[in-house]
Amino acid sequence: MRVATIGSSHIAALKLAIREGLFRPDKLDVVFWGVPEQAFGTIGYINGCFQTSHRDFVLTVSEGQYDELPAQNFDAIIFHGVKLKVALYLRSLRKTTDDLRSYSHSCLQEGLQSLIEETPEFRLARSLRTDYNRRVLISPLALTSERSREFWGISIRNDELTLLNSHISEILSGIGVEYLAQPSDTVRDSKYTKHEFCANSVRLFGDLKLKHPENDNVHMNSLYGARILQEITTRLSVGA
Amino acid sequence: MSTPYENLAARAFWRTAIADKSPLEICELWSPKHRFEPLHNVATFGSCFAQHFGRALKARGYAWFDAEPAPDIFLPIIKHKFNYGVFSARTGNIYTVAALKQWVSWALGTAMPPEEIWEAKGRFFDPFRPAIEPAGFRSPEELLASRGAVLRAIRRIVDDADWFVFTLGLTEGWISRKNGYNYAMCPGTIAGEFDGASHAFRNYGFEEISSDLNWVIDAIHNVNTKMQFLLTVSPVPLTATASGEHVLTATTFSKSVLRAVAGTVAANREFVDYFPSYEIITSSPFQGMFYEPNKRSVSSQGVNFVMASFFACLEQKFGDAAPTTSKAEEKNIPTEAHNSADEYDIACEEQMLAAFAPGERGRDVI
Repeated sequence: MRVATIGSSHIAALKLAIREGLFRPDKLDVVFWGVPEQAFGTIGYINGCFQTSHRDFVLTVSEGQYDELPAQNFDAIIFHGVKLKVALYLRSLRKTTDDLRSYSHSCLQEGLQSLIEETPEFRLARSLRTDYNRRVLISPLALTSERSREFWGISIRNDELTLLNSHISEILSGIGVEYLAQPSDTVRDSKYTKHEFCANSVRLFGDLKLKHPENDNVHMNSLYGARILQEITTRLSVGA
Repeated sequence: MSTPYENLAARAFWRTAIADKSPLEICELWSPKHRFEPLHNVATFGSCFAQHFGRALKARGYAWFDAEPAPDIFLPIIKHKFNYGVFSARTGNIYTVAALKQWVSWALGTAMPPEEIWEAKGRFFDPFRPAIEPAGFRSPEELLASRGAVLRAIRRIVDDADWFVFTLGLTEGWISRKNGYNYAMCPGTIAGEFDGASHAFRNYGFEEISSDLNWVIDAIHNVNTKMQFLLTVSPVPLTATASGEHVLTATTFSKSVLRAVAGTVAANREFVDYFPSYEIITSSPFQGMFYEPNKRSVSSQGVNFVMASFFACLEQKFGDAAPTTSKAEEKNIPTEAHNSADEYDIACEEQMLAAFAPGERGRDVI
């Protein structure tokens, strides 16, 4: 199965996982394609191809294969590292109520949908769906590392994270996209990513040799990348 | 020999206070008992008109108490659609004092909410705030969880607010014949199904409303002795009456009773005040100028005049200018002054009754 993984700097973790042999893509031929976050808005889906003005960069990311990405060449398209702002949602919802279940399903659904629709990946996926009928997956930006202490003093129950993920999944399914929630074994206390999946993350440019600063709590490492690739493989093997 | 009238101020005489002035110059209609401090937590509830109070307070930077806020990341249009930020808790309009008493008694735990839930086409509606979710709740459990949130919010208001502003709207209401509890609206108008054997009309009189209002004030004040109350009466006429009377005479009766109750209760309690928004809009010197062409809805000019009068009277009595928006923010009180649903129309369930008028049935009147 040939899949394209589109994303920003966060796809570096997945690329590195393969390079380091932490994930062996026996039945999965993975092509990576993307630009850093600040340039992500330049990506468009035109005439069946993902295109960007940063042609040299995407050519490098895809190991010299694609300066534009023809969707029909792939059995599935995966958007990884999508800024679905799961942590932001959790924090905002928790700030206003002591139980996320006090919001109605409709309210959460419509509130979250209006936010998710603004993400560039959602718009790209919706465009993609106009002529691409194979599988499309969205994998979110990981929760920040537990070292970020972003949720200091705020507790989140697991059923609340599950509830939020089910809402996101439902919203994405509305445009025929499958949601690949962050694997639960990488999550600490329903609100952070375990630090072991964050330490020693690398940048997308510089041939994956440049590390993010030690205090970077946003980018994940190859261990996490391998875990995501396993999830993708498992998901695609089901109902394929 | 002198009389008590000789030394009265100009405001005490019709000619000097009213006849010699243009309507917009009429002033000093209210002599507030107590100061509205910029940092006071002010909770607002009541009929449709009460929403203007909350909005005006927020706009002027007062610390309007939003005890049940929407997630701050949600867009204003979503918050408004789901009736967040309309009242201090997500009760929807509370038209009668009996309904207010019910909410307070549930929040304080002196009574339990009934189990009645309305269902239509697989969606579930709260009989006590049937329009709060535009399409109803997806399950009874979801409805009850949401109601639990509103009761906790009311409890927070009882515990922590400094002012409880309530706008009395209607004397007419509908109750359960069997158990006596109050519905927010007549069953069958917004949701539910009307059944004459189960539902009864009530037109509350002075004694009952006065008793209920005093109960509410005592119940809250027993918990929070710093709480002060401001009562107003909505100047918005009834959309429809079920009393059998003409809607005009029914309106006059209803508003007269509410005005008398509010005035009497305020006169008898030092920590209860009455603000005459009703008089400002409805009385003859203003010649109905503040009503929209339907002679019912209050125009934005009318609302602005009412609220300008409110703040002017405060300033005249206490010398306080309206605070800036930063005051509430300094106190870290949730305020939506910059991200609010206030640009939207007020939510007014009672208007739905207009859809039942002859010639209107089946038409969308809202």
